Order: sequence, then C-alpha cells, then structure tokens
Amino acid sequence: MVRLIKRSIVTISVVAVLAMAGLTANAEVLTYTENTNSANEMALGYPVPVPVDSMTAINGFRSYNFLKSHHEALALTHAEMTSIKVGTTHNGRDILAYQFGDANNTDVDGLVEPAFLVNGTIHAREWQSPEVVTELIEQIIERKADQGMIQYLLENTNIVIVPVLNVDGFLQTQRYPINVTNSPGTTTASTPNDKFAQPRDGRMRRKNMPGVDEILSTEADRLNGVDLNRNSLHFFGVQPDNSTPTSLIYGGVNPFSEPETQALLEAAKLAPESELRFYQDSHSFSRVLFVPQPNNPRLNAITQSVATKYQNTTLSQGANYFPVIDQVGSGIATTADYFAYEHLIPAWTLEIEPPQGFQGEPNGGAFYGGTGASHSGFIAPDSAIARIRDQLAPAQLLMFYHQAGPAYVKSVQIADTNDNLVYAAKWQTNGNSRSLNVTTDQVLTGGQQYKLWIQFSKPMRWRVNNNIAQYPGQSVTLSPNLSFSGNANNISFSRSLTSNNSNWQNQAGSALSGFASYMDDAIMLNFTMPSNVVVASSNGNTNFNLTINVQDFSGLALDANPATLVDWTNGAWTGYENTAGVQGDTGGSDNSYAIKVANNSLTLATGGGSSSGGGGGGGSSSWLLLLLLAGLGLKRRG
Amino acid sequence: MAYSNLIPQSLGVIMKKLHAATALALIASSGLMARPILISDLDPEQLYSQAQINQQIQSVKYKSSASLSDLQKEYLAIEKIKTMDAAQLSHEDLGYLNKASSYQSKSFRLHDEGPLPVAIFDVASQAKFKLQQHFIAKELAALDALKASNQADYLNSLVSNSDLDSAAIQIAKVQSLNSLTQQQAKNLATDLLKTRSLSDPLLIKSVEQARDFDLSKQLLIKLNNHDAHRQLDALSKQFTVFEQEALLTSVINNNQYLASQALAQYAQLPVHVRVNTLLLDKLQDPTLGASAAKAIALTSDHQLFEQLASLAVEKNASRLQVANALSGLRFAEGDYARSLLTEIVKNKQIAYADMAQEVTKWLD
Ligand SMILES: [Zn+2]
Repeated sequence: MVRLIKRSIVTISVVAVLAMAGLTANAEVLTYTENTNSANEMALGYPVPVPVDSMTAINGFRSYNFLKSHHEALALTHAEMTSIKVGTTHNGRDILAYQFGDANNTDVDGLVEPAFLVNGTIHAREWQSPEVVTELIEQIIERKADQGMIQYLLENTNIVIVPVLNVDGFLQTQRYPINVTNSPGTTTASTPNDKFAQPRDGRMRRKNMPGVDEILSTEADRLNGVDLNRNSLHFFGVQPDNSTPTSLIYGGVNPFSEPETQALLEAAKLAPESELRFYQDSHSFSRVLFVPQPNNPRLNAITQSVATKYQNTTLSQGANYFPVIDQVGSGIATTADYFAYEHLIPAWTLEIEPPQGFQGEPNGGAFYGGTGASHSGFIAPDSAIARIRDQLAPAQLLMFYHQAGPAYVKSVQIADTNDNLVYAAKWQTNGNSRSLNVTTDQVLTGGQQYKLWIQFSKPMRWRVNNNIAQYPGQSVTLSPNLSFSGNANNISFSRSLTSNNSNWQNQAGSALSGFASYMDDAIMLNFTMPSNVVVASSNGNTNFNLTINVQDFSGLALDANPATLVDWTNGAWTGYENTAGVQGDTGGSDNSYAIKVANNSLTLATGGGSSSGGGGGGGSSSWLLLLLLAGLGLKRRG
Repeated sequence: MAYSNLIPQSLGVIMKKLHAATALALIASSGLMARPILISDLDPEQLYSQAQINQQIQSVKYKSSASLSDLQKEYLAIEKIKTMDAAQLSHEDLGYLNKASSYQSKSFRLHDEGPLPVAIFDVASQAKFKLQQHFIAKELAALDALKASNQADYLNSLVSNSDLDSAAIQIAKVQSLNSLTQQQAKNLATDLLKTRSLSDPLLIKSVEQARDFDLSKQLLIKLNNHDAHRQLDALSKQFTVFEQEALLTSVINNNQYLASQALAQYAQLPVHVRVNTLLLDKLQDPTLGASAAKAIALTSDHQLFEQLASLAVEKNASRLQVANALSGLRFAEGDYARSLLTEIVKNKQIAYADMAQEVTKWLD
C-alpha cells in the first residue's frame, strides 16, 4: 500500500522529466487526509483507503492488478466461468468480460438461454463498483454447486459481467489514491474549498484517458477524457456540457466513439443482445437506482416491480437502495439508457452507498462519521466495503432469478398407496411449443389415498438452515395452492387439497420421491381423492382438473399455459398466460391436468342433485369463486 | 429530454412539474419507507447548475451579509468552520458549531447520473467533525498534563475504563501514544493483549510503537479487520528480512484473512531469505492457491516458473494445482513465462479442456 504509492512516485519522477519538458504550468496536487485541513489538504474524517495487493476479499479495496488476477484465476479454475477479451483501452490494456454458465447456451428445454449483463467501474473513481461486482462473481462461483438458485442460473441462463470497463481511469485513481488536482479555474491562492470543489484527475478521475498521460500534475491533459456514461446512442449530446471536451460529462465525438463503450457493446454480444433481459451499470454513490423509463408501459411496470423487489432485498440486508424513476422518455445517454431504450429490458444505474439525501442519514462520507467534504462519498472507508458488498449481492442475484422467467409445471405424477403410477403427464418441448404428453391415465377412486408429485422448471423456494423461508426481503405465498375442479351433474365443483411448506422437496430422488433437478423444484403430498362430488349416474367417470397455483421465490406466478413458451419481446413477456389463458405479465394457475375419477366412488345425486362443499378438504369459498368465474365466461384457452 | 438541459434557466419550475407525478408514485409504492429528498420536494430556487454555483461563490465577497443567498451562506459557514482551530475554540465558536451541527442544507445541485438533488455543502457534518476534534484536543491536553505530572497514573489511565470512555477519549488515548518510549509501548501492548480484543485501536497502536517481533506476531496472526492491511505492511517492515520471513510465514499459515496480502509481500523478500517450497506448497490450497501463484509470479524467479510449468503438465497434479500453476505463469507476464505457457499449449499438455481453452485465449 505505502509501497505502491512510493513506487508510483519513482515512476512519475522518471517519466515526468521526459514528458513535462516544454510545459510551463503544472496543476496543483492536493491531498485527502484523515484529520488535517490545510491549503492543499482536505480532511475526510477517516483513514483514506489505499489499494491493497490481495486477491481474496478483504475489509478494503483491492488493487486492480490483484483483482484482475483474481478474476482470471477463478475463470481458469472453474469451468462455469469464462474470460473474454471484449476490447482494448485507449492506453492498450485489455478489457475483460466474464461469462457464467454451462458449456452450451441452451437451457434444459433446449431453448436459447436468457441473459443478463452487469457492468462495473465505468467511472474510475467509484471504487465501490469493482468490489461489489467482484463479490457477485465470487458468490456465483462459491455457490455453483448449491443444487438451487445458482446452479439453476448457471445451467439455464447466461450471466455476463464486466468488472472494470474503464481500466485506464481506474488505474489512474489507484495510482494516486489520496491525491487529486485542483478544480478548473482555481489557483494555488484559491481557498481549499474552492480547490477541492471539483477535483478531476488522480483519485477523482471519472472519465477515460485518451491522450492523457499518467502523470497527475500535467496541466494540459488533466481535464481530458470522455465520460463513458454519456457516450451512448440514445440521448447522445442532449446536455450542453456533453460537447465540451474538458467537461466532466463530455460525451465524445460520436455515440460509442470510445474503445471502452465499444467493449461494453461487445460484452452485450456475448449475451447475445437479443436474449438480454436485465442490465445494471454499477456506480457510486447515493444508494439509489436511477431507472430509465422508455415509452413502453408494460416494460416500465415490470422494471418498477423488479426495482422494488431489489430495494426490498437490500432493505432486508440493512440498506435502502431506493429506486428513483426517470420521467418517461427522458435520458442523458447513460449506458442504462442505452440498454433500456435499445433492447427494452429492465435496466438501471446502481449508485452504491453512501446515501445521499435520506432523512436521518448523513450524506456522503459523513455517513461514516466523516467530515462530509465535497466528493467524499466516492471514498468509502475500508471498514465499510465488506458490508456494502454483502448487502448488494442477494438483490442482484434475485434479478437474475426473476428475469430468468416464470416457472411452469414440467411434470405431474400420481401414485396409489402401493406406489403404482395412476397418472403421469409431462410437458414435452418441441421447438417453439410444448405439448402435454399423458403417459398414464388410469381411473382414480374417490375416497382413496394417493401421492401427488409436481415438478416445476425452477427451484421454487429459498431455504435458511434447511427450512423454507422467504428470499431476503420478499414476500410470497410459501405453500403451494392446489385444488381439483370440474363439472359434475351440470354444476361446477372445486375441492382444495391440503398442502403446506413441508411439501417442498429438498432431497434428491426424482419423480414421486424427491426433487427433480434442483432443490425445491418439486412438491410431493399425500391426499384423499374427494368423494363428495355429486354425480348424476354411477356409470362412467368424472374429470377432476388439477389446478396448480404457485409463485417462485421472487413472486412470479406460474406460466398458466406451458404449451406456449415464455420469452421476452419488445419490453415484456410473451407466452406468459394467466389463469384465463390471456397473455400478459402476471401469470396464474395451471389447470391442464384432467384426472379421471370413477363415478361409482362419488356421491350419487338424489333428486335435486346439488353439490356442496365440505369434507375431503373441500373449500366452499374457492368453489364459489369458480362458479363466479364460470358465470363471467372466463375460460382458459387450450 | 435531458434533466440537466433544464438546469440553467428556470429549471426548477419545469423540474417540479416533471417530477411531481413520479415522486407521488414512489411514495405510494414504498409506503412510509424512508426515501431521499427528490426534486419534487424542492423549491425551484434551491437547485443550482454548476455555472450558477461558480458564479454565486465568485460573487460572495462583493455582497453584504443581508443579501447573501442560502448557497452563499452555506459556503461561508463551511469556510468559517474549517478555519477554526479545534484546540482553541471560543465560547462563541462552540455556540456556532453546536447550532450548525443540526443545520439542514438548503441548496442543491443535480446528481450527475439522474434526477436526484445533491446537497452542495454539508455544514452540519463539518461542524460535528470540528466539535469532535475539539473534544479530542481537550482530552489529549488532559492526558499530556497527567503524563507530565504523574507518569504512572497516565499509563494506568490508558489501560482502564475503556468501555466507559467517549469516542474522543479513546482517540485521544491512541494519539497520546506517539510520545511513549519503545519499552513503555511494549509494556502497554503486553497488558492490553491480555484484556482487549485484537481490533482495539489502542492495542494496535501500542504494538506498532513497541517494534517488538513477538508482539507484532501475536497481533498479525489473528487480526482480521480493516486495520490489518496497513499494519501488515507497516509492522513487517520494522524487522530484519529474516524476521520478516518468519513473521509473514506465520501470517500465511495462521491468518487466512491476511494470507493473500502476506503472500504478495513474501514474494518481495530477497531470494536468499525466501523459502520457495512455502509458495509451491500453497498452490494446492483451495483459498490461497491463486494467491500463491500470484506471489510466485511476483518473484520473477525463472527456476520457480519452470517448476510451475512442470506442475502444470504433471500427471498426478490435481485440477486446482494445474490451474494455479498455469495462473502463475499467466500472472508473471514476462517473455520467459509466456514462452513456457506457449510450449505447454503447443504440445497440448493441459489435461483439462476448459483450462486449455482459457490459456489459449491468454496467448492470442
Ligand atoms: Zn458514476
């Protein structure tokens, strides 16, 4: 750490002699300190972090060299993580993206995997960003064999992460971890407050480094560089300062003129772009999400919903990441604007803590007991970063899990008490559609006990110490909601099945004995086939339609009709039906499974022939509801 | 439409209209949950562009106090607070700081990345910091006086009552250690090691002052907070290279939290001091293997690189060992390590297909 600074000074003095020849004016080099204020020093009120040469995560900020080696070693050691060079910076350094998944780019149904892109360190001085993004990488790798959420994501989705996009700029900030140059327009005679008001190069560099040397004091180039978060296509150049080369928010000559932003586009191609369903650009500070809103109401509704889920998960971790929703149709050419407007996906700019403007919580560095000096929020203390990393990982992972798409029922099996299969149905995917393949379809008997097993396409529950629990900050109905419904003696009936949390399967075992592919991707329960359904004749059978209503742990309801495959198109879900069979973004109950029950085991009508609830776990309220639905003519499609 | 487009002229009015609906929606969706101040909460005049801020600050000296804007008042308040000498605050100063400590900012600019107001000055935090520095200075003066009058009482006061001490007293105690002799620091550190947690700032500072190998070792083989990194760097350099070697080895073997950094420091030891088997053995450590690879790379030792190359193609090597041997050659970045990697790839000697693919990409 100290070593690193000394080393840089040696380099500087050598290079400086060569490079500075002919230049008359030098910028004033200023210093951030813990406690000292002076003409060229500014106290932050806590020790000013310097990069640490550690590959493993610490209570502090790792040097880029060691972070990069850490990423590379993980990618080499773990087949689930792959490195891809997506570009080269202005100063010739590799820009690396990492892809997470299995060897193929298809999910378990053979469909092209949905993809997510997370970008880190587009602004050099925002040191919280590479640490938060690296924590995400570490958690994915550490939990790759969890038989649950992460393994599911690895096998069925494509996660692309760019830990450091602005490599040249980030290295410049780490080269001078406690130094900056004076605000434009100030002189050595200016007040310290004025000199520190708009610090630009060194620790407070934001932009990239085209034609910028790595010597802090060089006056001629220190304001140069392009704001990579103003160099995108949509809303390019809309702010007056976007066209001033020395401005903090200079947008460059053209959209995507910079090798770094071009590298981000290359990283998106790894998804590929057409499969993208989520984008996050990771910045600091303010502890908010800036959420673009294209003129697409369905997209905006989904984006706001997932942003709230993200916030709720961070709240459960002790930090309130508040979504600040943009005005519809407004933007400033950020990369989040680009992915929201170009690819119509939930996208946002994450601003990592410290917070800004929250009641009762000091702003910027004052949040950590510091002086609250101008720009101190970019310099979080070493003691805070481990907590920051941990607080954000669950929310980000939840976004992947949610945007992987809603679950659907894959398979339903019923066995009698002798373990003989009496009903088996499985959805078979053929290209762009699915069909229900019923391989066993025997006649069941009312009043008899059976075992029911249902497999879903995702791990549906979260566990803490092996017990079913809400995913941090979420609130979903944990027990499955199951019922039989149908029509007998010209009257609709509905009989609910008693179910609870313990029906979720976290032991391997497959059909009728455990989970299928992932923990909690299946439920299993014993039930008594209701006999209290009134039939007109004791001959023949009555169809009992099994109705399955379950939310995944992010709150997404089932795709009510698995026959049409769910995808993401034009900013919303497609093929995602509700209970009535109507496509939309909410999903519903799947009742595709007709179970035959022998009429002679049911209740024979005597004269009037009315059917009422009661017994056999019957629920009269759901029966009434079904009657109502039938009355409204809401009938789900095939 | 851009947010910042609107800033220079009459932005506030437009802003207010634009964001009122959004803000209401947010409040509704989040119930009574805490939220930041939004544009819609502000009076239009409270939001300044950078040009306006610059202009306001430049003109502040030409204005009478009666005609100052809130922004200018806040600017002057920060200037005033910063120039106060914490050690010699007057009664008036204290009154001013106490009042300023609860000041709520009234002037804002727009966040660079989105529609969020950002307070331009933080008068309250600056005032709180100055007051805290004042209390520390007072405590430090008291400690100095005690030390001058009764050395034993002073030393006793350092080890006692820590839980009851205010933050200011604790900081003052740490600062007062600067004038201890090495032996006094050693005695204090020995005492504190028996009673305090290792992360105690007074304990850490006393160990630093003591410059004692055993005390430093006791601290560093267990310390795992944010202070550990500075301390490892500083403490290890207090000793001879042989002592450094022993100290770093202890940390590598006993303190998983600090071991990665310690390995990097270990690699910088002179070749006659370094024990290469320590680095090579660690290559199979699930947590530290890659750090060992990095350390070997940092040695620039060609013999070690050759050992990495042999390990990478060794039939009995584990997947982890192979990966870390290859990583070591990658991290070395020099021509020689690269030539060894090139040879391995050319001869198709990497037993794992996914690794072969990664390594091939390195050489592109
Ligand atoms: Zn940023």
